[in-house]
Amino acid sequence: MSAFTKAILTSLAIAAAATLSAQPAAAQDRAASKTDIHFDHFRDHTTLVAESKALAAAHPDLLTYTEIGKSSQGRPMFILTLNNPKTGADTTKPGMYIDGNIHGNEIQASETVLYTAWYLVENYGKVDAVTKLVDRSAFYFLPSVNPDGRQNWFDSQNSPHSSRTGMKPTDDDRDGVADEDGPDDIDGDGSIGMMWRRDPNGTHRRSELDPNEMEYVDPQPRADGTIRRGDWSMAGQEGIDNDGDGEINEDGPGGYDMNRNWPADWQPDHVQNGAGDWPFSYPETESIGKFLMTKPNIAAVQAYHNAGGMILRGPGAPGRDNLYAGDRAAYEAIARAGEEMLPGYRSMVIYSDLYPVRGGFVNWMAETYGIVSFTNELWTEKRIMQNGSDPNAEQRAHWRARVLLDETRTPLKEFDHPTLGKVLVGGGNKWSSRIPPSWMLEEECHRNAAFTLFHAGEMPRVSFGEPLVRELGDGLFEVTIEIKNDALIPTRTARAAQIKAGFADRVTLTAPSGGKIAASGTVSRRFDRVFTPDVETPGVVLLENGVPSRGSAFVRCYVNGKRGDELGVTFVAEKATGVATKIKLVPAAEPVKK
Amino acid sequence: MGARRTDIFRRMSLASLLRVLPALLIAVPAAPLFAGDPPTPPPAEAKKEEPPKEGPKKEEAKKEEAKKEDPKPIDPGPLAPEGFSLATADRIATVAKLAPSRVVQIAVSRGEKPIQAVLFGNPDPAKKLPAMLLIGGMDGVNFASTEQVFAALEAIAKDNPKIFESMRVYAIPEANPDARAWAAKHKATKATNARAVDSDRDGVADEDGPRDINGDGFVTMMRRVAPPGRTATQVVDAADARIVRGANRDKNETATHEIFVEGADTDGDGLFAEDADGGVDLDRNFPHRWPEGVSEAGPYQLSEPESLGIAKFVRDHPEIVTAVVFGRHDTLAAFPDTKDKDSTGRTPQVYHEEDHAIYRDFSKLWKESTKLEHSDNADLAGSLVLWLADHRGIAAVAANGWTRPEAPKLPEGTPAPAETGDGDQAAWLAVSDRLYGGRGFVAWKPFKHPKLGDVEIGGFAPFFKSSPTAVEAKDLAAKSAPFVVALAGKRPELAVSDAVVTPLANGLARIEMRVTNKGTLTTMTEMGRITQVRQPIIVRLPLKPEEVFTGKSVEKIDRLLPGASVECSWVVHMPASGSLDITVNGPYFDTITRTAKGAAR
Repeated sequence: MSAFTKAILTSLAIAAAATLSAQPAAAQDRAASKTDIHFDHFRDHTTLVAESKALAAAHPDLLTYTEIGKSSQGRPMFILTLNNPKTGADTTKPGMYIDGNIHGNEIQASETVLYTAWYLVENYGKVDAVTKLVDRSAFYFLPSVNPDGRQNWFDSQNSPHSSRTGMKPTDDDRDGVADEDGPDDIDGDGSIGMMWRRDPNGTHRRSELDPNEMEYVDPQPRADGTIRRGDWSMAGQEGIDNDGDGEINEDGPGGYDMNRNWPADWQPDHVQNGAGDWPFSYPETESIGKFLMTKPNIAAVQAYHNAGGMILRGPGAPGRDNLYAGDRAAYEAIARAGEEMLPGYRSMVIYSDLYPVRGGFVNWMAETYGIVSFTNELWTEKRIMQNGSDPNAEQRAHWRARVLLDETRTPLKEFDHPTLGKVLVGGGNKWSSRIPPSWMLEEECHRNAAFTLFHAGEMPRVSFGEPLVRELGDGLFEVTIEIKNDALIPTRTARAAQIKAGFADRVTLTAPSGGKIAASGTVSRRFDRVFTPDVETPGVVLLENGVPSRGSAFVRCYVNGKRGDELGVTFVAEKATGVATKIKLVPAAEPVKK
Repeated sequence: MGARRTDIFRRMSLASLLRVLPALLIAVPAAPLFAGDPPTPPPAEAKKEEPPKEGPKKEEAKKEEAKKEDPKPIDPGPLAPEGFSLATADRIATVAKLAPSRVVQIAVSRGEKPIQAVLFGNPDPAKKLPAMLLIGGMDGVNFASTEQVFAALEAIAKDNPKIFESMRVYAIPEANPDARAWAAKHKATKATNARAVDSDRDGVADEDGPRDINGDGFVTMMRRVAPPGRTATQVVDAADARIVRGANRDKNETATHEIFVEGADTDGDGLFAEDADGGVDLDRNFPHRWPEGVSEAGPYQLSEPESLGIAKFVRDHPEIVTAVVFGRHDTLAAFPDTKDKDSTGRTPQVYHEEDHAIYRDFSKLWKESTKLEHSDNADLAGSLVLWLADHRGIAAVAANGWTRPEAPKLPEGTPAPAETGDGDQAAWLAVSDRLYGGRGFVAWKPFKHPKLGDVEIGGFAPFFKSSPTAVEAKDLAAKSAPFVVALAGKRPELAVSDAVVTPLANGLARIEMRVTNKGTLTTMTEMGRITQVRQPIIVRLPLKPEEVFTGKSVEKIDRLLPGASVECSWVVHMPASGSLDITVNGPYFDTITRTAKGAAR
């Protein structure tokens, strides 16, 4: 490190320290909080509703609680809208939509969404960056897309993976009866674990490291040629044959996947399992779809899931890469920032790095509306390691026993199963694998919220650049207007322009009194001479491609007027706050007064 | 500037093209053409000029020729929509009186018009029977489709009520009342419902549609010699000056004209008729092969109350085994013989090859019962019939049956007219001239257009090329009704043998029972099996799973072709004194019970 760099870093550190001491650490300052909402535990849906209402009630100037529909079982589908009306109506500003928990078991997604809302409203007016971001943006928070699945996860016996579905009764086994054979909590631990049967040709054996775990036995030949075998085999998830059809747990509650129920590339069940009858066939997805279609200002979308530590983006299925091609740079820049902010998280493409998803939510937002959209898979086991690597079985066992003190596991215990005979039941309980321990929740929430705020900060920010005025004689002026976007996200993404989603951005020119706009149009660069003006509707210039990522769009017009007259310019976009200016008809050689 | 004009056509989706299709291909008057004028000598070799889709094979053509030795064409009467009734609710009420039935409202359209279904058949709700579904009136173009549904209903309810002993018949005669009402009012074809769609994305919806600006009673086309600075693409045909067509570069023709849909540019954007009234085309709004990103196909699948109402009706009636959608599509006159799959590779482009036998059979039935060998057709993407067949596993077909009529022959000795550069237009003009008394074509008339200056307005009359007249529709409906009557005979029917018990040891017995489809249709199409949306036939043995040693206490039978059987066989724990009631259930037949009585060994 050079002395020079060192000096700079030192001065920065001093500056940072000064900032810290000058301002209270409001982010985590409970005393400063207007509400008694904490992020060191998980809440069921009933509590989520109550706390969301309380948060809105404590911040009536900024936050509004709105019900947009009901779930299958009649729970409220609610949105928290964060907007400062003093800086304009929500739809006049770029908006970010943030939701989570479309899979009922992915519970920390709701905490993350609620935390983001909480953090912003509690720190508005205290943390400069928050105040600025809130004043120029709108936020729509929908903490739980799947209220019934969430409530069921808390109230009923579940595994880490169950209650993913909504709770609309669905006849999974096509026997004419719905939801009649779900899992059963045989060992009474409140969770659905695994059942194991003794089996001389078993696939597993009890682990020597931890006899309450089963470990896989690779059927390889020993030195003497005999094949290694285990003495236990899986007998499925904890449960009995409730409907007497010879199968266990084949028709549990619900049985579908609402994140396969959105319109973009929706495909029926035989192509995309869990898709439902057709797009929006569930009241939850329908109410959200209808809400989103009323908010053309939404320029950024974040959906929270668990687990795996992923920052996911589309496409969800092969053959659709070209839908993202023009916007890849913006996606990648935001995702890279996320990788820095979220230890253990990786930026991934859904279909190629994970698995194909047709009819997924972020794909709908990205592909139909051209909105830059991400899905984060919250929590990764890497977080239990000092070095962020993947733990091995021993490290995992140590974490479980020494750090979690075995809270998340039920020891294997023998039971008499009505049809399977003697079985061992137990294993990781529903808290065990996909959610962080409660004492790590707040950090998970904050880091992800911070990523989301970074994303929101990169929604289009438009201003006018230096105009270029040329006087051509005979009272004719050529004016070249620069419209700048400082953000990563263009006012219209390449995808939006490609499918002509919504309206093109619109520049309206107002001639000085007594003057006239003769022709207007776009040029690609400030000094370009090639220009195809529109004389049919001079004074209105449509920018189908919007204002690019960290770049500018240029509009040129020919105006009749007198030197010193003012040309009025307004810029309106669906996904950016509109701006207006007046440009003096004074050639550039002379000082231009803005 | 040139780009401006082509914009109109680039922006026009298929559906909006369909709306203005009658007017899109234009002719210029050769000689003064007034109503009552003797028709322009038609092209002698019209047959040669016919496009391949409509030209029958040579032998067939000869046969037809022979049949029509003395053609006495019926007067087709005025063009659609004149003569078509829009009093659908009254007509449903009338037809419903013919046999036991009930009428239900399945949806309210965007334009707030009710959409009704009539359900004929056994009034006992506990009685399970298979059902056939008929749908018409999907758009405001194919007015005949509603007539075809009503004619079929009458043919069944009045003349073949015996069908109701084994079948229910459901019908939605007018699925898109908005489009039909608009078309009737404006005398122009319209495929879409009344959803306001801002087609030109200028912030105002439906503000610059096709308009009858010269007050001649028709929305047709405008043409002019392209002024300097505009790009001409069209020429006036030298042989028949009514025809305007694309310049043929191979023949070194130089384009002279440009054409526009008749309209005013009410919004002053330099484009004509670029934002027509509404809406969404229901027959492109269904989920299979939905045309994503096309505004007339809707913002998402089943976005419209009409299409969603039909979808829910279908979902809630699992007893529907066959369906006929009357309208623009045809899968009967020309069987879509393709095994191609859609982009996922998992769903057929049209029909699954394993189901081809069913649909070929239906196609044969159509040709035999209607004698309609040819038919217009349209792209099936997003259509109701595809969704019924491929997503809902129903044996569903599209029936149309109408195509360009034969023009009567010219009197002996009439000189052969010169060959035009557009055989299709020439053939239509021949039909208009010789069969429709010239009503199919609106002569070009000069007009001073406020925006375009001197233009001429004229072209094919709306509906002429896209729909039969009310008179022709009546004939078409009468011809297609026997097909529906015949199709009602296609249904699965279950036969279940006695349950035979063979004691194997004390307390152990084998039970055997055969389930046969003695009907004329598979119990489930292959797509029904693949999609798993169809309920299977469920055979239930009232024993606990641990008492059944071989076989399962619940057996599900998916697809049983006509005449095929499934042998159910169980080895069970059963005392000699035992008795078991085995039940067979399904969506379209009453529960069948067979008692298995234990026997001593």
